[in-house]
Amino acid sequence: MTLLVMLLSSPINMSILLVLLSVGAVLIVGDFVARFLRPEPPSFTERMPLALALGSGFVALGIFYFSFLNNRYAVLLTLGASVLIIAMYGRKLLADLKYLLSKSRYMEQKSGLLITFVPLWFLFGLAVAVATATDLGFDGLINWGFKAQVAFVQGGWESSYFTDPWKQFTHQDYPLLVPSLETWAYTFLRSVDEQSIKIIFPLFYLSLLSLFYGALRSRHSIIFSLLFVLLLGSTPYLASLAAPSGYADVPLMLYTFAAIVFIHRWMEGGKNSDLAVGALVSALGVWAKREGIIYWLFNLLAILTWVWLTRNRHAPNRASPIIFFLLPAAMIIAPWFAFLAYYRVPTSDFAFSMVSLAWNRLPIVAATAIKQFFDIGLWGGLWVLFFIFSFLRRNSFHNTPDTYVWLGAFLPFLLLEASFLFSVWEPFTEHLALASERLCLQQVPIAWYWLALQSSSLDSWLNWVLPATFRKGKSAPISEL
Amino acid sequence: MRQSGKKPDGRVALTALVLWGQLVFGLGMTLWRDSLILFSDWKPYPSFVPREFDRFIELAIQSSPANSTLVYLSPTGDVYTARFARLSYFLYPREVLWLGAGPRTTVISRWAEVDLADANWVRLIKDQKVNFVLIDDIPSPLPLSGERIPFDSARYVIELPN
Repeated sequence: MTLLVMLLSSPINMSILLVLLSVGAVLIVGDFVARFLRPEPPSFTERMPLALALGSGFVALGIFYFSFLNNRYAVLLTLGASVLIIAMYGRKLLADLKYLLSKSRYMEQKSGLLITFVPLWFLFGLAVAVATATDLGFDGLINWGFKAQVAFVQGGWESSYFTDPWKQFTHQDYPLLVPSLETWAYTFLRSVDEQSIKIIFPLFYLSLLSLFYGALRSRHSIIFSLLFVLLLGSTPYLASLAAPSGYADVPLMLYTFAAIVFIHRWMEGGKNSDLAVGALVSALGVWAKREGIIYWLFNLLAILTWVWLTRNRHAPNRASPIIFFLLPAAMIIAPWFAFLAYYRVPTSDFAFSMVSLAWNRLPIVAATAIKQFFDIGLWGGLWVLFFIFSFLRRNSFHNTPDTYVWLGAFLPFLLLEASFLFSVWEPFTEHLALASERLCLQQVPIAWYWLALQSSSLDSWLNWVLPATFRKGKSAPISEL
Repeated sequence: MRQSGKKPDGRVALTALVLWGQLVFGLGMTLWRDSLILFSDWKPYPSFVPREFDRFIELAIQSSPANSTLVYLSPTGDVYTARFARLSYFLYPREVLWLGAGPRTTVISRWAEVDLADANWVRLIKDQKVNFVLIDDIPSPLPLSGERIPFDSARYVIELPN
């Protein structure tokens, strides 16, 4: 009790608790949205990341849309809407929790969950320690940080903030999910606190790992899933540079990877609820970072291709998956681009016109992309493994959902690298050097996921080698674990 | 699809070995970089914002009206660089500092190299309605007059008269 009082009485700890409370509110709202799309709840390891992804999107969209009504109260209106949702849905959640706690076997299995995830808690703890020891980083302070402070002080988004160069002198067209989440936390804190806000970013990292584990666990054993999630979590660039920083790279990774998982599931199982979730997180990825639009376009192309390839299977309803995918985009992506176009918000780094297309940059861009894949210090042997497996599995690339994941592991990166042909930086190589590794980073969970999907025989081997505790079967915990 | 355990061929064992090597390498690199950040003050994404200058900004904010403009003057080779920042809109010291010491020139930061021997430099500053100038290691005398506010042992702030 004394320790609890001591912990709560420290101003820093109190601030972090308030930030966690704000994230808790986001999780409840996000879970409500997820349940709406997918009445049958997924495993806990998938449920929490989905809740964070969808809840963050709700906050960002809420502040944005309410700003049109009254920008001074947009944040409060979003808070009010969230309180309503929490009031309605919170009771159901509490009832579910009470029911589960009453089952002693469930509690026994959940304690196993905590022990199994010790390596993940270690990686998360390391990310938190590093995050608190450094600042949010250049983009975290100058790009997302500025936006968050302005939205907090003004109560929402004023249109003049996007049009007056004195007010937003850089990154004017960057999307608003991360700063909205920071503004949300500042509202709970009632002040700007760039120290306490740092906890949000490792939470996205933990969510990414949790979703990755959950996605594999639905097909493979605990130890196999844990091995690959540790491989993902310890990928050097992700673990020590991206996860603790205040950049939007890891939040975007959560959205792009979630989209791949659920669209892949839809391709395999045909369930519309999987496509609905995939479509929504893919659209929300555009709100995390501008690169999200390339992943969204990739997913649209993949769905169009899949519908065409399976046209005989779904003959009367061929258009419905496409409409399913486009509907969230119409409500989430289109309004944002319409807003940017209407207010002529300048693009800061690229000029996408045939006039500015510099074909002579192609050799440098191509060389940078190839060099990126073989940077051992950032990725270890991930990409070498990926290309070796790609060669060994070359005969299996036909009409399978796994091919979608395989393409998703590198094609968007190549498209994003190609966009530097339109860079306005002088020299553009500086722009390329600053951004290239972070673009490649987005592909990392997808590449590991594809490698895991190709390694089913490894699962058998692990089950043969390791003690019964980790095997599936009679002694295995329930599928939730 | 769940599979039952069975003894596989050598290729799978090799894959397991390679993945194990990747895991060890990844954890090692992670711990090494994290220790650099935790114990050596290395920053993966440097913000180029020297913490010490927060004090200058706070001093100026406390001492100047909300719509003042700041200049940070520092030596760059043979000429001195004047960096302007508009104070009034920005909420916290760092924004001003970024403009004043940022790595890239923008329309707002108004990076301008000035020759202190050129008297026009003074007019340039005054035309921008500058109120405060932080002087960093610039030999005196300067063609600037005003109230001198000590900042630290090497630097001082001049409050220019209106």
